[in-house]
Amino acid sequence: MSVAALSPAERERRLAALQRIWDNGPGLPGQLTAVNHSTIALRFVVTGLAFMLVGGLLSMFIRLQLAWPGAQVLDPERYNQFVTLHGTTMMFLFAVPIMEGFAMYLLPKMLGARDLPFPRLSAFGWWCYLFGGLFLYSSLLFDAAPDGGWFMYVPLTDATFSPGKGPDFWLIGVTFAEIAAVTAAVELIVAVLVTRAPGMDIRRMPLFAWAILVMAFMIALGFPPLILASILLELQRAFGFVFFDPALGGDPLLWQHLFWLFGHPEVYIIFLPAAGVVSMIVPTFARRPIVGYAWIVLALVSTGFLSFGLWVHHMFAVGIPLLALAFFSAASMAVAIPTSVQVFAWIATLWAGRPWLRLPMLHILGFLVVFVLGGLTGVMLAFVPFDWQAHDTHFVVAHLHYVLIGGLMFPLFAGLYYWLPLVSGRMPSESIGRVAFWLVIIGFHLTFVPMHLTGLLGMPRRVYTYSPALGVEWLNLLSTAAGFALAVGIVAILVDLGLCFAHGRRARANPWRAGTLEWAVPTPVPTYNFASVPEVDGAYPLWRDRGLRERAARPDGLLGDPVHGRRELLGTGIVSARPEQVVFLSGASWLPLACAGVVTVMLACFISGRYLAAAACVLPLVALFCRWAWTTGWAGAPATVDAGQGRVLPSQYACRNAPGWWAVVITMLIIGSLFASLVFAYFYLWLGSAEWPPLGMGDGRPGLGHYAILALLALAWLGGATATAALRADPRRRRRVVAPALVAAVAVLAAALLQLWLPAVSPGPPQAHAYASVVWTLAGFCAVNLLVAALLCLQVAARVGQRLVDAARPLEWRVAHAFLRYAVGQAVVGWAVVHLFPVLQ
Amino acid sequence: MTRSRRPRRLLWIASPFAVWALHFVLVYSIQGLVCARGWPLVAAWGGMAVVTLPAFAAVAWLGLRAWRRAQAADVAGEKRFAARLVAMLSLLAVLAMVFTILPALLLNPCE
Repeated sequence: MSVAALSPAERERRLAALQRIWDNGPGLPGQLTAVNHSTIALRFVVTGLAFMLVGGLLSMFIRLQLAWPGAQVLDPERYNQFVTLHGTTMMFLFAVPIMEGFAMYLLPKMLGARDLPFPRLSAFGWWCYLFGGLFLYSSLLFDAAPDGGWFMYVPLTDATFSPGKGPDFWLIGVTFAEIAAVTAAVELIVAVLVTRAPGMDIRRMPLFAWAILVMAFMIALGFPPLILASILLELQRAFGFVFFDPALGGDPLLWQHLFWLFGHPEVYIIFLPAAGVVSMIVPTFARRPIVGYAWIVLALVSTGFLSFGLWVHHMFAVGIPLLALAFFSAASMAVAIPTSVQVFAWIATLWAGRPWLRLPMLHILGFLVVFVLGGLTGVMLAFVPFDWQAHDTHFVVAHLHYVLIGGLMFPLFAGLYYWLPLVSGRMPSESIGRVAFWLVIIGFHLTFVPMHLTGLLGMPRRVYTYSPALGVEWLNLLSTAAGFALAVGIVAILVDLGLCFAHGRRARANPWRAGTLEWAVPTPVPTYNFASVPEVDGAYPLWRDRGLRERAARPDGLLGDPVHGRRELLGTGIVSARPEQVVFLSGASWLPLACAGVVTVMLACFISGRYLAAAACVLPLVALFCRWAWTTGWAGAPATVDAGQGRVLPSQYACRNAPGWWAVVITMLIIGSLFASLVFAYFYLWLGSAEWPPLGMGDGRPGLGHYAILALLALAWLGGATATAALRADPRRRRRVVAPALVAAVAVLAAALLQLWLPAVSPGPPQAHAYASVVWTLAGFCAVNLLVAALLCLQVAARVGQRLVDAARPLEWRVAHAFLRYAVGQAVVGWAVVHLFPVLQ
Repeated sequence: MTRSRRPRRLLWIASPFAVWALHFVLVYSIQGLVCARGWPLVAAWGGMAVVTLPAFAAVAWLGLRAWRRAQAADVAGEKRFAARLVAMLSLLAVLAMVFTILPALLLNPCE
């Protein structure tokens, strides 16, 4: 690597240019339009901690109420609301978002990237998370807090038994906040796949990146069942559709299946990033590379899959045949194996290294003890007969808190202390931190060990009080007292962190002497992380290469010279991490806030029953998203770019592995999971029905209109293929691309409208029977996707017309065409399910 | 060893457990279908056998191919790593499938 040394003036010029290009902008508008990953990620973490405090406060009330039988701290309604909000907050507004915040902050730095590949998307996610969380909590203002439990079982939450707005606040607010999870999944997968530093092939990726990759795929596949279930229940509550009412062909168990199909992977969605944190901290404090890197990757991947085979273990007591329970029981036990592989790898690393017991490490030890205990009670609960004994008792409460607090909170605190010097440039204080740690760990065990006993003695969960005859009042009193010690400990940790953030001892560079790339970023962290994109040759580059840190801060390496005045990212190959492309990112923008604001207005209109107003909000929303798509990246980007050091690379618009391409692939995975859940609902309802379609709802056979849909879809497919061929063939004749793209757009538009209209003819109103409801929903779902495909085709056709897309830069058409093919394929499958299946059965 | 150019793609790593997942879903669906419709139990056992054997064959094929690839001399380090990972995951997926199907040999499908 021979680069002529830069003159000091040139060096200053480049650094100032980088600073200017990546800056958030001044004042409040600068903050409202910020999209930088460090800024947004810190907001995720702070918002998550705030929600944790609120959720924790609720749990204090719960504990007070349960301190003694017959206590009257909360009346039964209030107790139900607090239990619901506590669970919901901790799961959806704290655990998942805070780990996404960690990932968003750390991942680019660990991977040697300057930002995440879709900065505006992360900003949009955070606004949705914030507004969704506030939406949910605003229910308290209207005295309509949800009280059906964080699992929202029907029929308790349907319009008959919960006539108020409580469940609506839950369904809409949580789904709104989940947008953040889903967008983060797209963002993080693409970041890990294509934005790693040159040389960081898949053997050298930090284990945190592996954990986040697996977690993000799990979100992409695991969140859609819940989103779908929420949509179905809201359709039932708001418009009288029938999915869960057995009187009209529905089935309440459908809710439980969909909910836990999300709910169990969720536990690992929370745990895997925390495990990734542990895998980063342990080698640093053991002062040696991790033992069994490949085994940990193996464990992460297999956990990611196995955790999808556990969901029925939440339903062992609902009356499913034993063999089905045995399948899930087997998977529930099997998942303990990869998890323990990781635990053994961490222990082996400590064993083989020279452990250094500093504050972050103390929390890791706390994690190991608490999590292993929770895992063991988990294996106990995986046994069906034991589960029948302990089901719905406080034993389960104890188990899940051991797993979640052990699996998330301790690694979280370890991570907060560990990365504090990176974020703030200051060290944590060992003295206060250690006292707080002991307060937390002792408080924790004394709170939750007694719950195992109260549960085994028969104390039910989710009930506002218990009988004195059980003889568990002293144990409960102990739990409550210790719960307050735990709370004091947690607050002490947060106060300690806050004080250190502002007044702590100044930290040296890389104070823990860690080996991974995030510690090569200078403090205070520049918005662009690295002045030059570093190149790495090992899993712990800072241990091998002492000059790396200094080189990365010097603007003379890869992408060191910001000649284009744009935010640039280096894209590398998925397996081998060889440089492949220069990615031009979007800068600060009002669009994320505006879009999230319009969604908020739309949902507020919806929940207050103003459906027309809500529907009218779709127009500005679509306009904003079109504007968003139109202004993405850099329309004028050249096909090839000089990346410095003699490397000339294509821009993303000309690259096969472009981030936008992978984003549409992951998006199709997410929509595919939604669609699969809906098809599952169709067949589940069919399985429980005596007659399908029911009498008087037609026979499901396709009519003339249905065949017309197929013809239109075929036309759209043909149009798309023709446009692609024309784009490749002759770059100058734009009309040959635009015309078939427009034909495809019009054809899918017509197919969508036809699809929305036909169910009115047969099977008739969706309120009559579950069959009609599910047919309507399938048709509507496919139609919405077709409409999106039409919009995409129109937009890209316009861009071809403007010469922004051509044969040398085909990315946007590739994205539109991929989605078009997906939407058409999905509509065909949906068509076959609705029209062929009833004939074939 | 130019016969197989895989794994070129990272997502290949997901294939053994994708087979496990498919097998799991199919076995569970067959059991649910047979019991809900009151079909003869032979249908359940037969159906499970019909999906289980190809699933084992598929994972074995994936695993052996990856193993050979990991042993080959002309493979770059990161690709050898991916191949080893796929081989190990195949072994685990086979174990997981054995674990899943074991209860079917011990229990009556619809009790």
